[in-house]
Amino acid sequence: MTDDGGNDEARGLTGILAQLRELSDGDLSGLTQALDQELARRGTGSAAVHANRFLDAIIENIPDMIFVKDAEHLAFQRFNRAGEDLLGTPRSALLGKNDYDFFPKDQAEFFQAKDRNTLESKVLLDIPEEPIETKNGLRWLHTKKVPILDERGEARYLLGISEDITARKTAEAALVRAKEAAEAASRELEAFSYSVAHDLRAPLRAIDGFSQALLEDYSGVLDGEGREFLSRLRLAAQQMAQLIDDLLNLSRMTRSELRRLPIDVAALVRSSAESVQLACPGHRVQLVVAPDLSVSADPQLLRVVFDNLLGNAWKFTRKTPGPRVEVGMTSDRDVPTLFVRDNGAGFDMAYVKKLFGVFQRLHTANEFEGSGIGLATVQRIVHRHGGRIWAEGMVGEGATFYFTLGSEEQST
Amino acid sequence: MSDHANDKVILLVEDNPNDEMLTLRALQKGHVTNTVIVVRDGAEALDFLFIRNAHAGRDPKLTLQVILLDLKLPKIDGLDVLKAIRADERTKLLPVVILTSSAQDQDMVSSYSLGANSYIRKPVDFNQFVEAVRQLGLYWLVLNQTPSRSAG
Repeated sequence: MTDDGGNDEARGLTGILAQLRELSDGDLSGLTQALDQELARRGTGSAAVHANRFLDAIIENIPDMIFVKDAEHLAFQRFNRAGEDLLGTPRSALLGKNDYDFFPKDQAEFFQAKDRNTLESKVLLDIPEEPIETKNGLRWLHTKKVPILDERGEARYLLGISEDITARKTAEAALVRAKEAAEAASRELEAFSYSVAHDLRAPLRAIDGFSQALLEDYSGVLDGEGREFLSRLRLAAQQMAQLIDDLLNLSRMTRSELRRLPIDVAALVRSSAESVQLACPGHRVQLVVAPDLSVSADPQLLRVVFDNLLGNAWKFTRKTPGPRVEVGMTSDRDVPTLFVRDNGAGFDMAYVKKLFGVFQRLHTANEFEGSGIGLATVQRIVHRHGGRIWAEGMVGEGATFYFTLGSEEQST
Repeated sequence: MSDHANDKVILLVEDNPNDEMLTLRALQKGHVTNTVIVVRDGAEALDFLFIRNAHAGRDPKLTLQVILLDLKLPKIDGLDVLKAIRADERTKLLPVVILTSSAQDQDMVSSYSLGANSYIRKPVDFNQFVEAVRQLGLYWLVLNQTPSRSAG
């Protein structure tokens, strides 16, 4: 306290001490008078009183609980409104009392141990989380305890500032629970997918395998129609196996971790096109790739995007003379946008919304085969990157798929 | 499987009777004529390999050429069987081919990490399965050389 109030106080006390020495022979009336005068002087708007009111107003309106305890008894000397609200106790019931008067013994012990510790070490103590039993139930506080030293460096008071972090704690706990639930669900899904992958395929192998065995060993007792039925059985089993694989793939695309790296898109596209070409022998497509395309994306996931988009482009140009597929970069509202364009069968823009739905198909299996999962997978990968995907097309004129890949912050 | 002391025997570990029949058929279609011994869970596989329990009386001189091991098996799963094979002096050099439905990366990585020699996913298309088994037989039974003292 180095303000004017402090100096006034010191001067006043010096005067009283001087009188004490003078009157040490026994006459105390002068001292009483001097004390009265001094008290009166202090009570009528001295600078000290102004400073006190000023501080009171600040302390009173700080939204955190503020308390001051004396170093000796750890009894409350000051308390503010936020503290009253927090504890549900008026300050009149607190002032002059200590923690043992309000809190369960173990809590009072905990608080006072921290108080003593602060007063002894004479440095600020930060308690990030402490529980406190109040009339309004259990609350969590973030408390700072500050020793207030006198001019000789002795700890005289303890200042406490407590922020009520109960809402944050509750939200954090809810978040942890939600995360655990999501992880449990994800593990269950993992186990489910595994079971699907393993157990659903086994009967399909039996259907296909024994149909083939019938065709091989009993073709003599089957007529053409009978053999045709068995061939259809086999085809259906194989289609279902493909469907299972595609669905598992879709689910894997959602769960696998996304790792962004700089990618040479042209190289990726050429490698993807090679494998697509291998799967479509006899269908030669002219591929045009813009050079120097580079993006930041998950390499494995982006590969799946191109495998699907190029696979579609190859598939839907099968009946087109001079099939041509182009991959390049354009800009959509200043966002770099990759595109894959073909001159194949195209589609009617009236159905564009159905394009990216799981199991949605715009062609019959007779026209173009497919499971209706490929573009749903692509869309999911693009969304995981925080990007968007859309398509333009016209029947008989080809289709163009555009997509962006978002940024690191938009990835999920 | 009467006299297979000098034969190159295949051990098939498979719990699904359909898959067992189809695998045997595929081996036959692929012209793999070796004796095939079938065990139906992981525990039985280890009993056979280490000549104990129900298989305590089997011919100890029998030479295994390759083990076809499914991953998802009753009692002891395929990866644990593989671990036990690699951990034992008598069997650690035996070629083990994983023959499974699973195409999960995690299964492949675990299998190879534990010392599988090969990993084949059973295709649903039986003709592809025959082709896979034919190549497998050609490689492991004809082309591949293993130390003569390695078999269990």
